[in-house]
Amino acid sequence: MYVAVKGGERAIAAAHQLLAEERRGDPAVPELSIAQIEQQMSLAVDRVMSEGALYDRDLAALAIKQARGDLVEAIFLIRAYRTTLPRLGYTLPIDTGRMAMRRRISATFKDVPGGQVLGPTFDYTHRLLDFTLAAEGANVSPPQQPSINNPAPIPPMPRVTDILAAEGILAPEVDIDAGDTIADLTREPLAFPADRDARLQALARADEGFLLGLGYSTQRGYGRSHPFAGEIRMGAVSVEIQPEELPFPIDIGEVELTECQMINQFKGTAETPPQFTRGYGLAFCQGERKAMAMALVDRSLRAAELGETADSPAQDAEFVLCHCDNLEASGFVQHLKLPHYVDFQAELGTLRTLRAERREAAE
Amino acid sequence: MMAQGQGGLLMLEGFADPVDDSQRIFRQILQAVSRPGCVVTLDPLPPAPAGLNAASIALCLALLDHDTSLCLDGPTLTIARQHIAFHTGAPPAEMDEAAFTLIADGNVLPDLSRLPHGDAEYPERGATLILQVAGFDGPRRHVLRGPGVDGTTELSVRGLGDGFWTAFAANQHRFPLGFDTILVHDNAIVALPRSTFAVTHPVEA
Amino acid sequence: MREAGIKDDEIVRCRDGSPLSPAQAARRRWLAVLARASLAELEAIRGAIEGVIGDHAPPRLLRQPEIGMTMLRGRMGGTGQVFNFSEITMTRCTLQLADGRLGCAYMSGRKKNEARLAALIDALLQDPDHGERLIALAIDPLSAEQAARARQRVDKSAPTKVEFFTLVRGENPA
Repeated sequence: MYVAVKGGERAIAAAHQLLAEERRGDPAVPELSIAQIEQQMSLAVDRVMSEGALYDRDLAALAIKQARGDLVEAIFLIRAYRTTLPRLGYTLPIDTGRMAMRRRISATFKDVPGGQVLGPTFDYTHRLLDFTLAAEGANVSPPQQPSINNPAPIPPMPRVTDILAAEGILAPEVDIDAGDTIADLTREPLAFPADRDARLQALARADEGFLLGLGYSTQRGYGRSHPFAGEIRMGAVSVEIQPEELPFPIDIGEVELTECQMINQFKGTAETPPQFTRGYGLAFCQGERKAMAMALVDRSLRAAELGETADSPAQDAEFVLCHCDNLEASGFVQHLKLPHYVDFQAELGTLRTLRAERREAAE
Repeated sequence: MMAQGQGGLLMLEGFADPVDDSQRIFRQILQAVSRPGCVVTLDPLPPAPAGLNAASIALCLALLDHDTSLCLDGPTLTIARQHIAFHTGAPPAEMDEAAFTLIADGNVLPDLSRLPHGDAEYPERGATLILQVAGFDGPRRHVLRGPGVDGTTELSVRGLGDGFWTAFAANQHRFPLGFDTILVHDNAIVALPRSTFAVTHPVEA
Repeated sequence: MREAGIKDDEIVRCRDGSPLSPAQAARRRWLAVLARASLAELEAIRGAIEGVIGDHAPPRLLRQPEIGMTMLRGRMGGTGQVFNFSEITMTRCTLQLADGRLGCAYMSGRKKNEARLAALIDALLQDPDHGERLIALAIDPLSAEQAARARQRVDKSAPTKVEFFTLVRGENPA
């Protein structure tokens, strides 16, 4: 039970003042600009956009600055801000097959058509602290100036999963026209049983750490699903909308995305022969760990639909989806800091009575 | 006014100040709904396309968006339909599905029993019915009572078919389910929420 | 085929399912270019257009520049059923010239000034007399530059392309 308390305005104002001071830190150290955060803390920006569920780099960078680098707090700021913006519509489904790719790897085929492109990755780094980065300005290599006039268009690259699906050994993902019935958590709260569209939307905004732990648990035997990273691709995809006043769809710009397709064994059922099935992960920009964890959890949550026994945490949709949002989790955990004086007084009273009764019985 | 230009029809603007104007109109709608039977004049009014009153368009611009479906009932409302879709994004729907139903002529009524009236879990899913009428100075008097009315109040309406009052009577027995009505003429509205009771009197000699 | 990010005209369909007319395809192309342009680039395009057509009557704003969000939709497995992924900020603006030409701008991000300018340019580019010349003058160079920029970004990853070799375990074939 919560009770309203009054007072403390001056203390709260002073606390906010102190917070602002701490945020700035030592004035002798130059202040961070939004552009610096956007450019040089770009993976933090990516995470805040994915879990804040709003693609806008400058806003995410601002939130990170305001939150003093606390990403869960920054995600909270973005979620709060997005409620002030009107919803202007829905895009056409993006086509990740037409991604202008900067990274593309497959752990299932070494000779994947189009090749494997590592891109800007931490993979294969030695994880040794690089002290040259501590020497500011000394380590910057001059930017390369690639030829501006490469006239060849960027070729579309087939997905590994499309090739496997064409062979019939991977369950196909076919476009079913769901019309207006596509779940939207920003409009209707989650209800159970939740269909895969609602689950994917919830996972897309879910806490990376929580999904990572759950995904890991499936690999360690809690709902084994034998995953392979069929393909991970990262790059820009154009976004299209159908405006009301035009008869044709138009392109409004690009988003950077990471898509992960996990391929998993499936024993088959009476109706379906043994085949591979998949889990799907999608995150903004270079949120690769998030996209992989999301794909693992998406697949484990399909247990019921595929007729598998579901007895592990990562297969329990209600458990996963009700606890995966760090805004909700953080809010409910942190509300314990709010005054619970009346609650506690009641508990204290009960405890004292019980102890007195016990004492009397003993005497 | 519509004119054929080289690139197509000339389209109309919405509210001059979309945020403030729609909030003003919303406040006035609130006033009307909390005082059933009272004639409330809306201001400021946006330009209206052929077939619709200025107040009807003001209601649409203030209340509709992507999440509120609209059934627009009446002949020759193509331009009005485009106008509302452009400015609000409200998806079109059949009357039995629509959150809002706007009927252009109160004398030409479709079957109002098709209006959604919500269910026990979600009574707010009952429709809002916007009806254009010929005036609030008609010969028939309707005595209203219910929440928001001090005792009773009288309402005169011209250009509203008897079918409405039949449906309205049926609506009264469904409370808290049912539809809410806003009557519109020119720049004025009268609200008849589902909580209002009406007794229709014949014309007195 | 233009570039990976932007769909080919052949596979794009009007709302009613019909293929795009050449005029619609041209407009679709310049709207995509304008959506990616900076404020300075848009100012330059307007200057170039006005240099050709001279003064024009001020347009009527049907929808003032407005910032909001649009829900980005994805497909399960990339090709399957549609789901709502996440939102993206978007700015839109629509205006109309006195002769009825409609100019609209829809662009990702929060860019009111850019949207207002892009909507005006969209209307002006539909000029019945100078259209093709204006496109060659104002749109084509920027379109090429944008394509090169996108290409450049992808090309930077080219040196990171790998060939993995499988090491044969056990006996090597003789």
